[in-house]
Amino acid sequence: MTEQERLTTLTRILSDLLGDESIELAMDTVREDIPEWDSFNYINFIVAVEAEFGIKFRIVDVESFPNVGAIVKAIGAARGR
Amino acid sequence: MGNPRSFLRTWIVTLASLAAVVVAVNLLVDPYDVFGTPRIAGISLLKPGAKNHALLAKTYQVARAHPVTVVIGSSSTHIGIDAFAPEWPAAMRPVYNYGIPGGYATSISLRTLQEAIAVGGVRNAVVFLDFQNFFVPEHPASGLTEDDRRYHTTPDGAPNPHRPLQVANDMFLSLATMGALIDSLSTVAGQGNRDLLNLAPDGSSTEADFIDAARADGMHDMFAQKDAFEAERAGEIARIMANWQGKLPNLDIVAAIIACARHHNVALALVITPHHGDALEIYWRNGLWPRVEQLKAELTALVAAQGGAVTLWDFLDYSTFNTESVPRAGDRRTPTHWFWEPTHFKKQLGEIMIQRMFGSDAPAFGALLTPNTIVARDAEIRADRQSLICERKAALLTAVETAGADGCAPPEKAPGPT
Amino acid sequence: MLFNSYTFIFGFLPVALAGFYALGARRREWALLWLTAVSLVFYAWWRPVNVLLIAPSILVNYGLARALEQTSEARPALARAILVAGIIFNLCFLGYFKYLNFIEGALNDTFGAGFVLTQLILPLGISFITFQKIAFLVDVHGGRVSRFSLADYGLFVLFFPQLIAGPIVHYREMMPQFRAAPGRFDAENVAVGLSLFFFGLAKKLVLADPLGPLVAPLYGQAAAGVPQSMTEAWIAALGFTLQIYFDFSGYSDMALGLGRFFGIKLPVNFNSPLKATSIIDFWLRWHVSLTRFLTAYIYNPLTLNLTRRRMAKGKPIFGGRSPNIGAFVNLLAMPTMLTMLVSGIWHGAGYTYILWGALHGVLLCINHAWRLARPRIWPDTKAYRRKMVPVGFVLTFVSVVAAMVLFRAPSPSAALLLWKGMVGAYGVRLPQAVFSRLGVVAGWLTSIGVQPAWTSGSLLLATTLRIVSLLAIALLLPNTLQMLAAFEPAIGVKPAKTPPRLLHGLTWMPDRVWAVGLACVALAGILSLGELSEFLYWQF
Repeated sequence: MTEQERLTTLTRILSDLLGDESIELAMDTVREDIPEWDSFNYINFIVAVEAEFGIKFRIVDVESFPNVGAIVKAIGAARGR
Repeated sequence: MGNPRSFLRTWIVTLASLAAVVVAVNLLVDPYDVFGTPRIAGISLLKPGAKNHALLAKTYQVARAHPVTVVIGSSSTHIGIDAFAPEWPAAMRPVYNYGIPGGYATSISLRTLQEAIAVGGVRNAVVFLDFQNFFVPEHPASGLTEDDRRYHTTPDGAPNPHRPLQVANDMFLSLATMGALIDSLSTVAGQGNRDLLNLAPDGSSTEADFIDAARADGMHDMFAQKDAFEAERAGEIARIMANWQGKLPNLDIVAAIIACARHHNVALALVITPHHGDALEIYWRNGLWPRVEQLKAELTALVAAQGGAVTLWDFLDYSTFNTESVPRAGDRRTPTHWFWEPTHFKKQLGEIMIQRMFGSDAPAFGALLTPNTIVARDAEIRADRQSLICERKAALLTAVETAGADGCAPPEKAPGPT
Repeated sequence: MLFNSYTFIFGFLPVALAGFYALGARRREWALLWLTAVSLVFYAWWRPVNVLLIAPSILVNYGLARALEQTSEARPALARAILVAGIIFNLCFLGYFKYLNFIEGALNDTFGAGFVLTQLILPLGISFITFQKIAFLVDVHGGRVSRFSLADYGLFVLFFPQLIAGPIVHYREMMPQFRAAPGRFDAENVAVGLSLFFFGLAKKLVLADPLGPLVAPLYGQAAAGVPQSMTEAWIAALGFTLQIYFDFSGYSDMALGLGRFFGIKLPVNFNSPLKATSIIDFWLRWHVSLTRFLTAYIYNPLTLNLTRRRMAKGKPIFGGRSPNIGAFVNLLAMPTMLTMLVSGIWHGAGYTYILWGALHGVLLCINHAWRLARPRIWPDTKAYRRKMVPVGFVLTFVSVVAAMVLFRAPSPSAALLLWKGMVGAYGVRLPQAVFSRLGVVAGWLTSIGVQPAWTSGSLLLATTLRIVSLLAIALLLPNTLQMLAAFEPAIGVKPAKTPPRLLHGLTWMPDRVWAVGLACVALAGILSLGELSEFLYWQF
């Protein structure tokens, strides 16, 4: 799966979660860019991502993903292990 | 775009210049009369700013005034006694009014008397006592207050080591605070108003606040507002006095006032401050009149023990002065003669009291209290009340509003079947 | 030492800066050591014994952090045990000083346990320091912090601009800045720092502090069980809200400014919270660094674990468009309430703070529930936003103001009394003087049940004017972060893409006009540092 494909999957998960079809994620998107993406929805998003890809992030990493790109890369790293 | 270095230069130069201007203005206007800067017509002749800093302002004033007579008391003294009144005998002049408005306590009277004596030259002291202050025990503040640090002496008469620092502090804060600046500016801005509140160099204050309020709200509202306040206070006092045994509180402070005056050979007149019938009735109806009589008796005994060195004047009675009518609600024109409201007498009444105590040919108002006169005086006041209140001769606000609950003795009736 | 004192502004700060710049010109390490040393002096100033309390705690934490660093890779179980021990140590330290009395008192209240309450010395800023230390240990354990010395750690904990009242900072955002700090006088940093500091000083002293004596008697009366009419109750609620608002806003600005003098940017802590249009929005603007801390170290780990567990059991979680009550209660309401209770207790040892936290927790749950349910009830998001944002603002404002009563009231019963007053349970009273001046309107007021009272008309007028003008400042003007956005006043602050309209004339620049304006602001602040004690003689 390419990074672009993962990004598309993340976009779908978040759109479903927030009920907003207009969301478009890019590698440099940060949480503040999406109005409804608060800390609560963030956790749901992370768990949904974990379920989708069958991985588990470390809590410290969850806290410090600087942007969507970092999540995409972390998925890659986790699946590569 | 700007340049940070020139920003910082401009900032510091502006800040320093403005600060210098503020200090200069405050020194020139001297809103609290701390420095004694000469008063300049159109700039600082009248001083309204001392209103909320009276103890500060007056403690600096009295040191410059070199009075022969000092008048001590609360806000009613501050406002109602004119230190420059023509009734003062020549031998007693100059007089300084050291009455302190706001947050008053009898212990402040002791300290201000000590201070007036410490600055030198005082031969006579007239100390006004508010009866309400003898029903609530005063507890000395823990630690030294700012005012304690300012006086020349400590309470036991020794030189006060804290004074220099406190004076420096007072001067700094009178020069370099927002409050001082605002008071300076409003002092200058207000000079055009001839009725501006003014603290004269002799400690007397004009009655501007009362004049303004009377004009805006009418005398009725001023009495009614203060009645409401006194009613609350009297209720509080009644609770304290309900279980009080023995001598009334704070008489030891009066004993200290007497001791201080005698120690320094100062002729002392103690004065029980007059109150309007509205206030008297409020305390009467709270069952406190026996306590008022107890206070008079205990003060009389205290003074009698001095063998004539101290006099005690009693103006707290149901005389025609104290029971003048209160104008009706809505009437903003009719003035009163003797009282601004139930606890603050007007300067006219103050002058009558000065004449009564130190002059001759005065109207029959108040009386000297001695062990020989007190019983008759108490009875006379009760009789005056019976005729003025119970027989509805005086149009008091409290009498009108609480008619029927006045506690008057029932009219004499022929004995018969009930 | 308080920031708003002559000693700090004219004594401590110039000395601290002069030493820092002078040493920094030679070696940065010396400048940083100097900064640690003056921070310790700052901390010790009020009560030197504080140093004896904080120094051992720093050493213990440093030791624990070192141990964590060495074990986290090799022996994860041991590392975990050390981390737990460290957290417990810090919480006990905080608990002993801040909560022992409260807990004993509560036990006395509940069970009649005969604890004798002793007044402990509360070390200054202990709540902030404790949270930072815990965060540090967690970060070391998680491998987010590496390469630290005792000097680094000491400076991180003690850095005086944020020492006693926040913002709560993370090691990883501070240390790189300390390591890169120029350590030299930099005109732009000083200009930005001065501006922030004196804006803050003026906010606290000129805007916030005068409200204190106005509202204090109202809370005092409520505590004594005296009911307040609607007028007084709202003055108490609004007055205190604005007092704490400008106090906190001013304090946060001062902290940002002081950090900037040393070339250090602190995180955003206060971002016009009264402009919030929802309670969630409020917590993203009010005490931001605390919200960030609680989210990162309590809420997120908790929900992450709960969500994973629930998923493993095959129960529904959030996601998709079918919110489920069980998921809502377990994954949202419960962690939210728990986090807000911690927040409440953290603010102070008292029932009122716990209730305040609980109330905000409930409000947040309602807000979240509405967010989940709204798209089904009202699917047109654009129309919803357009119509409901003003409603959201009003609801949030009223909720926040009402909750603030709990924060200030001496007891829950006093707060309850004021709330009843706010909804009119004790009528509406206005001073007689107001009635006398209103003519016809007075009759109309009487007919709707407004009663005259012998309270001060001029005091009411002055208080109302003050509250209205402060509300206007808080709600209409841009904040300092927006005004100085071009100079990154706090970590990550950038100019908005679409700046608010009022910002046009208020964009800060290091030019002459701003220098003169800020000199006036600074003077107003400095002139308000002290005041002659006065007796307010409210005769009329």
